[in-house]
Amino acid sequence: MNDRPNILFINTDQQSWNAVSAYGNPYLHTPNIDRLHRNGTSFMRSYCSDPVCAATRSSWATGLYTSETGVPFNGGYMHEGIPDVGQVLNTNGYAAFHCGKWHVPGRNVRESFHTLYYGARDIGAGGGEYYDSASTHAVIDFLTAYDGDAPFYLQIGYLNPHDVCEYLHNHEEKRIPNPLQQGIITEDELPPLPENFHYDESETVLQQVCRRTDDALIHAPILNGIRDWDEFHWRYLIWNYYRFIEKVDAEIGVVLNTLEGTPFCEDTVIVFSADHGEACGSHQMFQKFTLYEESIRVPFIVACLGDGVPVQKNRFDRAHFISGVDVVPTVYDYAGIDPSQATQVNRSDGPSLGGMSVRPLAEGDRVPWREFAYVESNYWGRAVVADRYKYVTEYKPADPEDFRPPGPDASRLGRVQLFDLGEDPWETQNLASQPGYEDAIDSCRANLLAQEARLNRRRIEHPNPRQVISNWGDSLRVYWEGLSVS
Amino acid sequence: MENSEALHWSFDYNYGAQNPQFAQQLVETFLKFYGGPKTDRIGAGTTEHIYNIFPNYWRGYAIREHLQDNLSLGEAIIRRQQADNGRWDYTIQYTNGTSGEELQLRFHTANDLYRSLRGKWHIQAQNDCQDSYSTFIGEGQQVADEIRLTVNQNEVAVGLIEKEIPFTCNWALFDVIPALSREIQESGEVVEMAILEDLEKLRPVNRIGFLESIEMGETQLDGYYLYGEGLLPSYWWLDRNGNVAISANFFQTLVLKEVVEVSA
Repeated sequence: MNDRPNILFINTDQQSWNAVSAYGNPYLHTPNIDRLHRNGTSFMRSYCSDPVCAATRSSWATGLYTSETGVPFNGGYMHEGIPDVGQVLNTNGYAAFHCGKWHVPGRNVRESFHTLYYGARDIGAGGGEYYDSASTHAVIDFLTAYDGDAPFYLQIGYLNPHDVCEYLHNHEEKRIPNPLQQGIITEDELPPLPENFHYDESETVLQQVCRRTDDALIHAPILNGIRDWDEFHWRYLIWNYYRFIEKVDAEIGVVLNTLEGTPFCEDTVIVFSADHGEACGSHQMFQKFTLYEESIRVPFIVACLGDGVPVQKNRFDRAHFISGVDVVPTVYDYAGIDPSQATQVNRSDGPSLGGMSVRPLAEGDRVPWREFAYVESNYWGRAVVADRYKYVTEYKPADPEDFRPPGPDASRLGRVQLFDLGEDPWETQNLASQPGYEDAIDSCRANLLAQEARLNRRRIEHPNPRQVISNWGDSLRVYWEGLSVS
Repeated sequence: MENSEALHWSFDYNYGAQNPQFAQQLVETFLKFYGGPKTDRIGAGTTEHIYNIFPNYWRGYAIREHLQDNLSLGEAIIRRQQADNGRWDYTIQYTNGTSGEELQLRFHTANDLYRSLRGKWHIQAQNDCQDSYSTFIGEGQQVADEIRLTVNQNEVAVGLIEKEIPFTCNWALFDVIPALSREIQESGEVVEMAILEDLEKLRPVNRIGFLESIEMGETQLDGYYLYGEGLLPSYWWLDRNGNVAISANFFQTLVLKEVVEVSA
């Protein structure tokens, strides 16, 4: 056995924190993620760094927030100089392997990792039905044959439940009959509408322009295709979403079963998380991109199937705010790598890692910890989730030729959504305009600006940033101008 | 049948498939088989059913070299032969140009309605991608109520099954659903089965029921659905000779293109 553990980072795509049967959801069955929970600690206040695939995955690769990586939206390219976890581990005594989804534009996964499997055509955003099973085969083959001297780091990027996106695209052009009426499925099988199906419409302009208007910037064809959905259609979406999760849970089960049959079982620490969540009918919304809990809050488990790595088992941690930027420092901690050194690989202007190692928390130690989670979204969107209040806001677009993600700048902040998560965990009532919450807003805003002052925000990397950011900015500007006129 | 006619909702996944056309290629494959001399289902000897695999969602899942003309991402061949002792021997060949994986499955079943799995089964996957994974070989078996898989001398626990529920491989459903079709239609009930997906992932709770009958061209098709835990719904369309003509799951649609009889 090596004195440093093997590290397995299993990630799913688009799985909300509450889509796990061990956490009390009776409408799906995830025996294998449940098994990870029984063998580890589930962090119940875990937030992605940015609720979209490429962005949050750039955080997984670097430990930085997405305004720092060059990927603050799906089409951004990661900056060349920033070292990724594969490069760092491969130059620090580990053998770093990748399998499945990567989706970090601008970074060739095959140059940073030893790749087990990355598809016949490089895996893109989705396609779990095609790729996940092959990924599992590659992992089984690896785990049952690996005989390297170095401890391994293996990250497995499963695509499901992301295939729910295709389910939604399918409704752009047609209707499917109601399987309830056809007798295929029964009423009691369908999950109920979420508690926050009806929502407070006083949202940010960014949310309106990106996700609500007829010409919404993101997935308008889906939006318009589902406008006349009735209760059944929403509930059937949730039902299908849970089947996608069960599919990927089965893949994880094969990996865990295989690991249990190998000598690596005892000394392999497993980190499990998802890149972002899925709205799945909450706030009558679908997919991700938004700053509501269903979109940004994800499962995060640190586990060991054996006893070789100290981990508190079968435990819920509801106290600590975890972020997607914590994955890399956690991995480095287990690997015995100094994060400050690691960031200097191949670069001259290294920012410190934004994240913190979750290892001491998984071991049950008391350590100083952050008091809120910070999330970026769609370049201009921001959220601060604290113990009681959740603050969502946006930056107004400014200079169309400024391609550096905004912040910290109080003068450019736009609309605010404030939720009392203690009283209103489903975010159904925006308190921002109600009297008595001024102090809460001030405090959240101060946290936001202080956090952003610590970031090394970088100009986005994209062949044509104007095409992306300026055009979006134009749409936002038009909306703001319309508001000021009215 | 005009290509422009809408297909049935259970296999019409036209999103992003403007060129080449999903509907057109599905119909062309279908009519090529059903427009020619009728091929009856053959109950004995070796029979191969060969299916074209169409991706239900074209955007992002194309095989690059096919971009202009051919939607098909591969082929599925289901070959079965009945041995002297009545047992059925299956060989499945599944190629998927998008995943790059070529899957060969070999298994045996009892000669019952449910084609219950018997003996050991074999999985061989090959991958021609440029990454390190190239071959996966596994051997599985049922020991009492436990399913086990052996890979590279390592034993992998797959799961437990309940003895009361019929248990087979998903690829045997191409024979199971035709065999159960009359019972399902006449009773109006569903049949419950456990399924070992691709001989490695256990789906213990599933049900098969009747959907409806439709006409496609001059061919009448009877539709059945498969719903289950861990599965997206799939729909199975049988011709009057008991061949599964179209099988559509969430991401791919298999359309029968050839039935080959090989003498026993």
